[in-house]
Amino acid sequence: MAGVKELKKIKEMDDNLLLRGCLQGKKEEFQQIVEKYGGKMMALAMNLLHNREDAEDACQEALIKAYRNLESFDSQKNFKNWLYSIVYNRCLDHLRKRRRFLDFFKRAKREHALAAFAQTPLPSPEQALTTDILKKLSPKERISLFLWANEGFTSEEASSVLKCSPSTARVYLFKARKKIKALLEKEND
Amino acid sequence: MIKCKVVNFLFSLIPLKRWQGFLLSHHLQRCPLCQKNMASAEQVKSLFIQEGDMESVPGLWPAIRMKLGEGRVKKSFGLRRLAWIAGAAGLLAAGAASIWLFIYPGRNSSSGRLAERFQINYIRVGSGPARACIFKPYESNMIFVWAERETKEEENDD
Repeated sequence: MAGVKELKKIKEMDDNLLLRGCLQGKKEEFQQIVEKYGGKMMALAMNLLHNREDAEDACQEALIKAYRNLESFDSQKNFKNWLYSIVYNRCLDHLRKRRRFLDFFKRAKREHALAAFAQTPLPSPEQALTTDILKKLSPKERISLFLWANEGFTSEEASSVLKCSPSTARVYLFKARKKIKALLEKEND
Repeated sequence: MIKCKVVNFLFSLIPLKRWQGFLLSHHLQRCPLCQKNMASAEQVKSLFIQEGDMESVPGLWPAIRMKLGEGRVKKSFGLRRLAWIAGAAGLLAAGAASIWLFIYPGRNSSSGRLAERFQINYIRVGSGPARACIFKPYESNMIFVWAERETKEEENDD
């Protein structure tokens, strides 16, 4: 356990070193950050958006935002959590945009105003890559579940990404786990 | 068992996060029976796309680097554009001013302001004072000025 903690410390120290380099304007250091966390961020974005293009866009936007706001990052906090919270917010923006587009599309279809346009395929939600089960969860439930199962986050750590209290993060996680269990059982039946 | 049912009922009855958090920390997270109704980490993990499941994302850094570079280019481009806009505005202002002066050449000068009222204060013919006679025909822009040297006789008459 101590070894894991030490490793975590070394990783965090590395992050701080990389961050110092970034603040001095060294892009190579930021490239290392992108290579280190890019995959994890992409996995998070993919699980929220279910679309590779959107996920890549969200990650790019998040990393660019992180680079431009590095000075505002509190080095006492966890850098990965900070990156996750940025990419999570970008994903929420993408989901909002998508919802707006879908609302517009549905209305247009209903009113037969854009009959020709309706024949064009919808971009993202229909091109889901993962199982439908996850779609039944809200984005907050999905991310708290992802952070807990994939990253081993505690509710305190998840709350820093979700920007809520640890108790609220715990509630999201509980609801998500319960829903998943019920859905899996239903699927097995 | 009954307690679990009551807690679950209370959990869904009052959808306040604090209340639900309280129930979670005091019962739901500790109770093995309630834990059975929740998916395990392994079950959940299998549903998610993992970092390793995806093909590598080699395009991420080049795209970011390009966009970061673009930002700087955009800034300098913005400054250059600002300079162009300022230059164009200056030229426009100069053009408008010259057109104004061309159309109304005398409006701003002191002579222009007096043009509507023609007045001669003093005329001398040769070295002596002269009598001036100003005539403007009706509905004409012409003004005739007649200057006549005052003779000594006239001076004596006065």
